[in-house]
Amino acid sequence: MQPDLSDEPLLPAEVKLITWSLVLGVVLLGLLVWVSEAFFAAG
Amino acid sequence: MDSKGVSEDWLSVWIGLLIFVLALGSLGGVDVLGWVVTTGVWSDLSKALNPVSKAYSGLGGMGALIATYLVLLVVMTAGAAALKADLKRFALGFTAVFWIGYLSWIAGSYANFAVTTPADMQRFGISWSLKLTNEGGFILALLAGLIVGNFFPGFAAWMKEAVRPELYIKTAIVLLGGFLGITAATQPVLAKSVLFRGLAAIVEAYLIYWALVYLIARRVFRLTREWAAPLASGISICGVSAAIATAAAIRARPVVAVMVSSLVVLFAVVELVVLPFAAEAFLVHQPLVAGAWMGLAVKTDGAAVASGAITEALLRARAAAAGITYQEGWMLMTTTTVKVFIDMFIGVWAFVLALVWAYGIRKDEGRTVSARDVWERFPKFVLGYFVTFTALLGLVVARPGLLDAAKLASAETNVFRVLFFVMTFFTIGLVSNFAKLREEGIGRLALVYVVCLFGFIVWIGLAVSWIFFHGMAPPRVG
Repeated sequence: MQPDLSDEPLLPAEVKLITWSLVLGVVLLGLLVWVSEAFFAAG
Repeated sequence: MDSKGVSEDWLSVWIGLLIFVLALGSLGGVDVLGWVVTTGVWSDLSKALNPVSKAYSGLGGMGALIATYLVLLVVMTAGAAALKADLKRFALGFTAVFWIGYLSWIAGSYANFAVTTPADMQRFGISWSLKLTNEGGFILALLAGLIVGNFFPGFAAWMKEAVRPELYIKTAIVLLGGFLGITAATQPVLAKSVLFRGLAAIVEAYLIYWALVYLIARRVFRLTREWAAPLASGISICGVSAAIATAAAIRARPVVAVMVSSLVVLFAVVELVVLPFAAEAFLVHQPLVAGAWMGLAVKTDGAAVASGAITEALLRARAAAAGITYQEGWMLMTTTTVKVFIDMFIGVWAFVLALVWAYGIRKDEGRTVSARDVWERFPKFVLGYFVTFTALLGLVVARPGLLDAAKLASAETNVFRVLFFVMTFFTIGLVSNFAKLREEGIGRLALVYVVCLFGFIVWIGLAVSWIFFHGMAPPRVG
């Protein structure tokens, strides 16, 4: 059993999911690094 | 509980808590579990085994081993009854799993495999050692499982009823909570930092990993949505559970979850054998980065936590050879923290995907996605982990005078944790049947998996681990 190949184009909902996920990931990266350093220092 | 019996997930909580509560007897001066067998590094086999507590030294090593087997057989068979498993087949299979697993553990503690320092080499009268620490026994158990699973499939099928790596590792993780709780209590500031940074690391991993794997699977490898979404979850989040939850959330056919899960298990074994040694080679000065990396990069709970244990053993041995003794448990705590947080969010992510698929892709009429869906997919063993973790952490913080008694309780649960780890390694090897995967024609899916896993998942995991954990080290002893 091989996985099906796709003629399915990326739908707007998929594009949104990918884009939001990556953008949120990058924005939160900065925020979480700051919170880690400011409030949860290595000690 | 339904007609199928209790789930392995809940069963692991009950078994773990039972052992944990019995071990707490030491807080009241009652040593209930001191008979459990422990194996020290040995060059004379007759001195290898001992009961964990001196109070039971009259049992002798072999007596302790037989007692441990019999008690575990009774407890696990009772558990199998709750699972509605075939009890006779389970008891026979468990006997094989226990003895092959534990013999591997004893072999791994042989001095020439395990000794790590020149002083110990002199003490054992040996001139060389592989320096794997006694946790090299895990690798031997894995190899034994791979040999049986791939070359003796009839024997593997015979013990199938007791081949339950998920049950064993989840029970081990519940037990691990108490040990890590005490470790955290001795350094609360560092522990708080590890917990927050672990949470931060997995938020990043979810958001970046999943989207990239899904995009590559869809655009580069032209997989359909039905295959791409479970595959993205399997590679990027936490293996089998995530692949199954995602397949259910987007209503994929069962074969999709099965095939993706097979790949996850197979490659987790490859990661388990390779990544701890890569960490030893390149991250010896960044021990907590190494611990977090195992949690982020190695898929399946069993292989990830096991990789953390091996990584900790290897890095502590390297540090010891350089005259630095790190307190035990911190690297493993980092791996486990990351892995447990990943597991907690599987239900949330499956919920998000169910919403996107229901309302954005399939546009189902009248389809609702409820918070109950999140709870049903929530891994219950995580609750057991937090109960044992917070119980001992809270107890020692509130009553510091109980630290020594709590350490004894933790030492005893830790011996059981090792036993369940060993059985996890052996059974992971057993279920990794390479020929079967080839028969399933899994090639194209495997190609996507390999490209994503070793092309960027492992490296993004390393980068995220580095960002949140670089410069942090376990407390030093002495």
